Amino acid sequence: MNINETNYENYFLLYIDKELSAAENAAVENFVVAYPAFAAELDQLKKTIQAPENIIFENKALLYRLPAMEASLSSDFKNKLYKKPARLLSIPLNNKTRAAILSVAALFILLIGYQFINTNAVSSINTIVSTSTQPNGQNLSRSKAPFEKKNAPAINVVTSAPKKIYYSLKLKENLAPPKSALASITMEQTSNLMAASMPMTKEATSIQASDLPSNEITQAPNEIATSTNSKATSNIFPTTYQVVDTDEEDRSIFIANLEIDAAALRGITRRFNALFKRNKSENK
Amino acid sequence: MKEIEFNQCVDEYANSVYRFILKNIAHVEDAQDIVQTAFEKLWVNRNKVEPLKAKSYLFTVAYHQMIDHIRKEKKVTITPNYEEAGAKATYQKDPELKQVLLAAINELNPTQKSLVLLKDYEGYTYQEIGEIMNLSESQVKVYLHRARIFLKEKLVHLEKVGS
Repeated sequence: MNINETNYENYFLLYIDKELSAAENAAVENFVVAYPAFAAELDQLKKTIQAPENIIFENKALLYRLPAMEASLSSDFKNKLYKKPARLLSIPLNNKTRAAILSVAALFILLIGYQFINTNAVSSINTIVSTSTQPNGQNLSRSKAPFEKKNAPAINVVTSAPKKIYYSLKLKENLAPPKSALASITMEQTSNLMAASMPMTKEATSIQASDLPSNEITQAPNEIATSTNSKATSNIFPTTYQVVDTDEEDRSIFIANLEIDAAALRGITRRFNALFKRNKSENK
Repeated sequence: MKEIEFNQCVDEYANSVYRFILKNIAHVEDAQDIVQTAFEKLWVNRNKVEPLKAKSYLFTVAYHQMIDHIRKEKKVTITPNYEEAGAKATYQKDPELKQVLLAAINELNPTQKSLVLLKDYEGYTYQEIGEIMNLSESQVKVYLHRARIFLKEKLVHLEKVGS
């Protein structure tokens, strides 16, 4: 190793950084002794060494990992150290709110069940009534096109166009006046029409009906509200068919002695049902 | 590394890491936060870190935390108030020299300051400093020597002004 005037600074720097071997250190010290002119420079470099300061980290208790020490930490601080998970919507549940949520859920279940039972009940009534009043199996087919309103006692088809409709057939004397019918059709069905125990085409029905003196039947040519069975006979008195919008019915729900107007909740139950139907179709 | 060894690390290294960070950023609360984060990471990775490497690991984590902090703050305000908070020179008896040196060090960029502190306070070798600061050994050597010469010139200037 040869320390000279050109490379001494590098050696001095390595010397004060303690990066030299023992032999090299000795060489630097010998060089300074041999050339006192460079001693001042080495001293100046030595002065750049930072004196270690006695700085104390006061809160070591925050760092220790002992159960007791960990317990002494504030939960705020501990939470700060962890990555925060995604925040979930948390609803503080006390007994009251829990009871309220459960009761609402129970109400929904009851509404669904009610509607399910109600639908089945109406359709079964429909079947029973139609068979009892129409022993000959005369069927009423629902027409989608608008009909002109008729006044004559006849078949009443009360429809509420955009809504789901449940049909029931009743005798005229049992007929409740339709309230919010958007379209209705009445058609007098006379005994001779009924007695015409022959297969009738749509046109034939239309012609025969129009021939009746007290009848004002207007039927759109592309549609037929009724189709007569070939065996439609023996029903002498005028029969009235009514399609009842069961939305108009009293749909109160009784929970214990608490009465709830289901009509007010109709929209909710529909959406709820629609949701399930949608899910079903998605599952398919 | 178990709890006992970890707590030994706290006893042995917390002050050093804190001093290193505090000298760099001169902000007590932030320095404490960085130290806490470093020890927290050591705890999380206690099974991966060898006990003998724990000190280097702590300095490495703390250094990079500090760099992130400096970038985030975009400013390093020098508040020498912490000097009175217990800082005590051990062998630099000349208070004027000490003040000048302190001022000169604060003129260094963060990398150079860290290099000087790791070398002088902790006695790390160039290689160890390079591992902590993610620099090559020759980079450490060059940057550190530049810093030394800068500090020396500051001191020489002071002596000339004083005399």
